[in-house]
Amino acid sequence: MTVLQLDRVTKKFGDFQALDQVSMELNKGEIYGFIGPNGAGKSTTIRILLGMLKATDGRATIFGKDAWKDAAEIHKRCAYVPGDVYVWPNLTGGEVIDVLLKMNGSYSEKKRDEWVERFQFDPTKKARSYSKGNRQKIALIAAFASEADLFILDEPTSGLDPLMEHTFQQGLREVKEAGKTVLLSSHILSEVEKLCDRVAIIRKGKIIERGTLNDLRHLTRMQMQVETRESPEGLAKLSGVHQLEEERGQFTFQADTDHMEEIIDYLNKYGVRKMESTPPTLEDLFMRHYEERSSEENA
Amino acid sequence: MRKQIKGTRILFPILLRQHRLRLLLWLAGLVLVTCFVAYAYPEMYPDQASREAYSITMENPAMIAMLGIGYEHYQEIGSLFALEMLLFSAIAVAVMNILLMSKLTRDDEENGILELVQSRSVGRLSYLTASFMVMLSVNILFVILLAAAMGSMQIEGFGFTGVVLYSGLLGSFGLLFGTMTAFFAHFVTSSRGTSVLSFAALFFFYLLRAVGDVNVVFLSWISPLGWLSRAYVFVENNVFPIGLLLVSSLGLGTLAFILQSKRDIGDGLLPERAGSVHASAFLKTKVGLVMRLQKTMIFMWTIGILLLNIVFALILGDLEAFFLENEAMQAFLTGEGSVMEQFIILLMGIMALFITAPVIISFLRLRGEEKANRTELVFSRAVSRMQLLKAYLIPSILIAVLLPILQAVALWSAGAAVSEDMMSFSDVLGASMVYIPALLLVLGMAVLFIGWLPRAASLVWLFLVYGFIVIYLGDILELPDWVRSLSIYEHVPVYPSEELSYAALLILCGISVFLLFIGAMGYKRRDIEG
Ligand SMILES: Nc1ncnc2c1ncn2[C@@H]1O[C@H](COP(=O)(O)OP(=O)(O)OP(=O)(O)O)[C@@H](O)[C@H]1O
Ligand SMILES: [Mg+2]
Repeated sequence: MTVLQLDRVTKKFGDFQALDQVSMELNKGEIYGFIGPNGAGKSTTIRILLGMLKATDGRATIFGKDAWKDAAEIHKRCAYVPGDVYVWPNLTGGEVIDVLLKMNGSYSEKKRDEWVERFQFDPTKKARSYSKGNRQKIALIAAFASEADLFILDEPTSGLDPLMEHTFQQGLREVKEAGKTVLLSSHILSEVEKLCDRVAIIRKGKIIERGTLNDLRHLTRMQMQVETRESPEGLAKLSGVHQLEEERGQFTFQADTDHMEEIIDYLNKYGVRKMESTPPTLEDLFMRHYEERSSEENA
Repeated sequence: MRKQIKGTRILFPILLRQHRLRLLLWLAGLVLVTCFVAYAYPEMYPDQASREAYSITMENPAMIAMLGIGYEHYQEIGSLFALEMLLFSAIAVAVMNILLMSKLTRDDEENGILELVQSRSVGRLSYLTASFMVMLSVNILFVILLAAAMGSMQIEGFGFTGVVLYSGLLGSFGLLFGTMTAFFAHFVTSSRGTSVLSFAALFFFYLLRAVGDVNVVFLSWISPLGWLSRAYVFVENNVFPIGLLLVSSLGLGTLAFILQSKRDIGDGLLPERAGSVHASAFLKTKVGLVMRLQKTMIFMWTIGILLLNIVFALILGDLEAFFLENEAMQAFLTGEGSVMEQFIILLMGIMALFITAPVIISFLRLRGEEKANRTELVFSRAVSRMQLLKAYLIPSILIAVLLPILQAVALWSAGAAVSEDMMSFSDVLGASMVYIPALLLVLGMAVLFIGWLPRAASLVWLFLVYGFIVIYLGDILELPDWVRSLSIYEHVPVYPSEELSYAALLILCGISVFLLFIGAMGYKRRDIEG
């Protein structure tokens, strides 16, 4: 079941095209990663989803309703955590959490207190004196303690310490188990890798890649480390082998996944003693994508 | 000491550049208005007879409370000018200095700029020193510009010594309030708190002087505003008030530096209370939230406006006595109705301008919240644009409706206590309430701006400034009727001296509703910045 849908959404700020035909679909119960370099358009996409910005063209729907027209209605079942949380400096953290929760109607005090506890948050201080991470906790607690079916998170952990990051990831897993849907924009790729079922990569306002992590990996290369009895002459010439290096009989290279079969057949002829392969991390994928793109652009 | 102010030389030009445009506009405005008015004076009072008439008007307690003590004789035309302009120009200069210094001190500290600068190889007192240098330069520049401009006009009756003293008084008064703001900045943790304290002090000194000048002289000697008129500029040209202003600036400045060297960055000296863990039921409503965020502002303005009314009500008795004694004065009453009635009508006109300020401030907070990225989190909850707009409209409308009523109650009860034939309550109430539609019209303008031109929203203040110029300087500058009619407040019927025109009030209300509606449509359709 589709919970959130972007259909060729375009956004222009004056002459500047921030989003170009962005399409995306989130199914119920999945955690969807949304990554891209600074200024790519992640926050802009999210603000369109929240009904704060009006798309120049295209449609954004959540729960089958129009994200712009029915914003307040949609938000009853929606929770949002921004990367930079700005709150009223002269209210206490506890007051801010209550105010935010109450805006969506009734809420469970018990759940709120439980999350205050889990995030080890001191709700008695004035918001002006909280650190960045503590301000983020305010929004996180308000999100986790509300009865939301969709979580929209824009770099929600950029200020959290590793312990709190763990609490956050734990919370997200519980949310997923409860059958809720999450859109997670983040620069912490290990976090996305750990949590997300599917990922979309955006760059300069365009979605350039999307799919499960496995899908994406297939598009790219494995990191290989091989030791053979005889030196594998001509390995470098084989198609699908890149950046071959030798060090004391150890060969390291990158292999295109779609040529893997030929490469292994070839190596077998030289008597494989040891072979290790590591799948690319999301970070490798990400870097690769940009390196390739920018070299294409430069050419 | 050297070490403490290391880097000041680098910071000074940066800070100056940061604020130069705004400061140049302030200086240009102040100098131009002063010169225009000064230029108009000799023509307004061409002969001895008109000056004597003026002196009789100015001896009345209402005028003394508003403008300060007058002069024995009005031989020099400059002295008439000084009586009417010195006090309010000084207040304007103080406002400029308060805004400047609260930005240079607490605001930059609040925004983390001070921390960033302090992390470099820069002395602990450098930022404050550079800020003081900026403030000092501005005031010195102002004195030079004003003295040069007024001096070069060579208006008859404006002796050069007087011109220099007049400019010097304003400059040193500005210096005192800039310094005082830097001093207050140590006590609270926000720039808003800093300017609130400073404005409250300015207001308090004004009231002190008003009471002092009419009745209890020593109070005027406690208030720096009271020192100004003791210079008898253009006649006696006493220099000692400048001395007093400079010495007190020096004292406060020293304290400000001492506190700066003792205090942690980001800290305020007034203790912060530990807050509550849960929000109250009131705070959990949208209007409640908005009211809570504005409570200090609303409270301060309410108290200020009520006090002002009470002070003026207390001199009503003196006012009447004065007019009874001076039969000659009766001839100068131009309008209809009794002295008291005319005075109250004028007072209500001015108070309407004052009440406009909290109405605008309250509603423009919506824009302030957006600029501070705080509406984002609100709109991410189940809150629609119209709901938030409404939550901001309600307090502004309440201010626009309730403050005139409250002030009428304050004015009337204090007046009735000191004067036997105080105007009837319903007349006072009416005189105050006729302005409500005009207040709502300005609010409508603010909504229109927020909806369609949010970046230019502060232009709404021009309605207030213009209204002030028309009321305060309209006669002096002999503004033609059509220029006056550009001010919203000029379209308010004069009550109770004239028949109440409901049509005019209804038209004003109609326009406000229309503006409100159009503005709301814009707010519903536009992108929210943050
Ligand atoms: N109100 C606006 N007016 C003009 N340009 C804007 C506006 N908001 C965003 N932009 C531009 O749109 C582009 C996308 O910005 P966006 O905030 O969506 O990036 P992002 O992917 O969230 O980046 P980051 O990872 O740094 O958070 C940027 O180039 C930004 O400068
Ligand atoms: Mg972003």
